[in-house]
Amino acid sequence: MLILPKTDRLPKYYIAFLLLITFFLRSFPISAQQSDTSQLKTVAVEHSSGYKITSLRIGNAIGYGIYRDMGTAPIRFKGAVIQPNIGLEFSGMRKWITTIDILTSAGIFEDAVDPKLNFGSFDISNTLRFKMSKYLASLWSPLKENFEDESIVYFGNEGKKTMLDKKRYASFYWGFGAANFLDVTVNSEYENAATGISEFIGPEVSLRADFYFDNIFNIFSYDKFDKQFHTEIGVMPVAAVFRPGYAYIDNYTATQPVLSSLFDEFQWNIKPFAGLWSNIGFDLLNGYNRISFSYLWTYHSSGNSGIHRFDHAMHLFLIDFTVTLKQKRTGWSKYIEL
Amino acid sequence: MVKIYRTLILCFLSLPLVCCEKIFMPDDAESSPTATFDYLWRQVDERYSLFDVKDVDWQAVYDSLRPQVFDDMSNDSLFSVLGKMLNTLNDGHVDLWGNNDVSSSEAIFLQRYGKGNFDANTVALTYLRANHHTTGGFAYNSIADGEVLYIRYSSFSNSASRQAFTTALGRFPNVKGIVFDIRQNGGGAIQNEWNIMQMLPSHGQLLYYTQIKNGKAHSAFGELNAVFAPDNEDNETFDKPFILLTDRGCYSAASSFALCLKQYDNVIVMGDTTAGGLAIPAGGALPNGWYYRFGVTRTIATDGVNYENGVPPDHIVHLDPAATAIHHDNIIDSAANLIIKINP
Repeated sequence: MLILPKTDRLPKYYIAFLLLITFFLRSFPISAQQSDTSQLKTVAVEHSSGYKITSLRIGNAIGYGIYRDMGTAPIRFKGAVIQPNIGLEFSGMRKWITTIDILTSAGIFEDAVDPKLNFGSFDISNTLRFKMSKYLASLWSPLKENFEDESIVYFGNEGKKTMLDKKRYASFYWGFGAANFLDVTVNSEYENAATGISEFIGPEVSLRADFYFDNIFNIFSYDKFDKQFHTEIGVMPVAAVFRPGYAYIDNYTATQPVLSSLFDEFQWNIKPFAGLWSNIGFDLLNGYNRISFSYLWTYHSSGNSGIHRFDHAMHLFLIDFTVTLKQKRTGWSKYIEL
Repeated sequence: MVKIYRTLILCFLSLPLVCCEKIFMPDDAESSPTATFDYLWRQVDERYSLFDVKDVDWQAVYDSLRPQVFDDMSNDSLFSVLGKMLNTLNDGHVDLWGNNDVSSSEAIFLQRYGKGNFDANTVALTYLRANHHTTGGFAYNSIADGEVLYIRYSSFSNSASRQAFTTALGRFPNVKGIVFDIRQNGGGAIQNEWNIMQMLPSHGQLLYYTQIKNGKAHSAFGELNAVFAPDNEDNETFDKPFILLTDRGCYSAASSFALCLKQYDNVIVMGDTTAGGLAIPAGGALPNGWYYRFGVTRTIATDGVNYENGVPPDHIVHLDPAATAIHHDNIIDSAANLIIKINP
């Protein structure tokens, strides 16, 4: 039985996002299930496991961020955030999928106790993520026998070409890599403590699942796009955290050139579970290209590992486009008329 | 099988529900007046760097003022009590902003306006005069029959570039010295100190030591860091007599500038003791959203003394009201005469 958390704990943006997804799905023609498929030139392609695809992912997100830096204030600062992102994806059938993502966010923040628009208070963060994901579907898929002989069926008609197996409901992945999260908060009211720099660097592991909407709900759709849900969660099991020291001051030697003494007072600490993120959303697939609508949540915390605790979270609605840059088939294919 | 997968989907979809920072982030500090008072008192207690020179019993301050704070008191009353608490430190770098008001050190205010050695009208009418030049933050003209360059620099928040200094000198290349007037200069950007010092002949001499607070104890400081005179970086330096005028209105960067220039061979500091303020302040916000700041470093002079309460001049000269009555500034006159005496 699924036990949901208490209602007051549900992030309202997440609920709004689920409603949006529901509305979005309802807008698809369910009647497609009853369509006559006999008139269509449907072919299947059976092939070996070899292909290599290089894709570019580019997108943008908007949402809100929240941070609290106990070195300067015991209160949260909240604000609107925009986060453009760009990434590269290198994948092959049932091989390791390698992704490199750069997510840069910027937002204007105000303190939650006495909110007032202050353009001198802002937050900029940058995430650089390198990740390798391994396809795990063979462990849990009902089509285990298909995966074992490394064949997959492609369906095509009228220009539509989908990589989805008709009988497959889900794909599961696990991934590992490295993540770097650099956050700069600026609050001009703090004078010589105006700039707070927090750096998190460490390994990351993640789990991802894709659920094929058309197959699960038994829809044989002739839309241009196939549809899938995705959900992913990642964690930094341990991270090195670089933060201001006890006095929390930008440049305490003052008359020395700034760069030479900027980080003199900063300290490194090791923090277990310093970063968490999750991504849930919906993809429209056309071949190897896709459009993704996601709700992205990120959270980083120095915890009590350093002198001053720092927490940073973002709730973002993300739209990104993944387009194939290069596609190289390395195995054989056999076309079968259905 | 489909049922199983649908359940699995719901499980995965529910996964991000637990990913809310509220689970991991402790709640914000309580923002009641008593909690705010306690927070500010503790912040000062654990991070303020100048208890040794301010001679304040901080625990006694808490004991006397804490009973005046109640959770149902007005913001005005709380602001007044917090301001009173910070005022016991007599420190111009200790301020409180909030409740549509600012609380600053009364002692520094009284020093600046009650003991200032400066008459702005006299300086404008007799020394700068109507035909004075302005380059960057410098207002200047020649005095003493063209033999001395008088430069008025009223705030370290105004630009003091090397180029501006060179331009001023270029207009009066044959002067025998400079009277550099920073009286009533309340400080500003430390980088401007650095720019001016780069125009004076340096031999890498020690200027001062700085220490940063690194623990809760009042005596907890990091190691002493020596700060040396900046390189001249191929600038054409001014090696003739340079007299710096100071008074009780000089604070923060202006005091620091006086402390540094005392280590230059061709510089004499004249006038009155500065108001101090050598520590570097850092700020923060209180649980109720008000802002504060106070010093978190300390500066030790080359003689081992912390001149936080004021940098004394080499030559003490006080402004004579009889002189200002006839639009003369006896401090500027003394400085000009000294230059001509040193460099006839």
